[in-house]
Amino acid sequence: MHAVTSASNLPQSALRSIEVDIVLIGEQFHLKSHVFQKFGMGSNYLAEHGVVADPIGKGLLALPPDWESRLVEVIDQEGEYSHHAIEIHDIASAKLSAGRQKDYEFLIELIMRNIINPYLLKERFELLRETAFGVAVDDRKQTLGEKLAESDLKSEAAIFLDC
Amino acid sequence: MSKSIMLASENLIPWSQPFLDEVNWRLHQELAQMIKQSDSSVREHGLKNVQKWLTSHQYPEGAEAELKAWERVLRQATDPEIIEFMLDPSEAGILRRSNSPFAGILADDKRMQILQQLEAEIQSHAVARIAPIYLPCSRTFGLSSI
Repeated sequence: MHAVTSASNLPQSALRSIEVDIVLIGEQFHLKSHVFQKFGMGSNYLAEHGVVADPIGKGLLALPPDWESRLVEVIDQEGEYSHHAIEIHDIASAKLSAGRQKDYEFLIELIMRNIINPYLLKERFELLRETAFGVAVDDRKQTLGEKLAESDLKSEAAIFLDC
Repeated sequence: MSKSIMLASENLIPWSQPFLDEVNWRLHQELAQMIKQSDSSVREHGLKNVQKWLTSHQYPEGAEAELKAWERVLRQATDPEIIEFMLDPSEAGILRRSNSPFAGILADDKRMQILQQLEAEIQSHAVARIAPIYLPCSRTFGLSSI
């Protein structure tokens, strides 16, 4: 997934792919096969431009409620509107919900580099309680807290270990 | 071969990230078949793509490192080594395939066929999961009505 940040010290784990996920909303989801055919993996577009786009449905994303209202407008180098990107704490919440080893590593890197605010991440992640992904909230917070503690980030760990 | 973290098709949700990872793996399986049949165009095409991209784009360091790994393998590895590299089912393999240089090789029709085949498999698994719930009931009702 694609997020926006003004940080210049992004971790390598955030910069390892030529792939962008495109979230298709509402009627747009009918275009998923078309997006795959034209811009997806193995496409002529990838051969020509060196970047690839994967279409995904918003129902499959563990994003906190009202994430649409927090979308960030992206302006291109000519100053023109390019697209909307998901706010970084919303992306971080989705990563925490996924709870894979690489997701925890990614989040710890973001916290260590002050790219995301751990208090805001916790607050945003708590919003997932009221969704279908809510059952995993306490487990993921606990695991992140433990991993932060293992990384010597004790005060940040405490934020997530209070449940 | 590294440890697989890929899901079986019956556990996939259409258009989720694991679904797209599986589609991508199957695309590479098709390319691997071409390599096995001594089709050198796959290696040549992949190498041409990755060299063009590295020359014409400024990728972030991590993506550039992934592409350079592909370039190195396509230059130096044997065909079986390339196949092992491209079909690695581990997390590193999934990331590697998301930076794959094998673009513009398979026809769009073939790519769509692979995608639709996986969608059909998932659909048939879903139907199979539902069917056992209804069949015994309908049999019971059938007997009692006789």
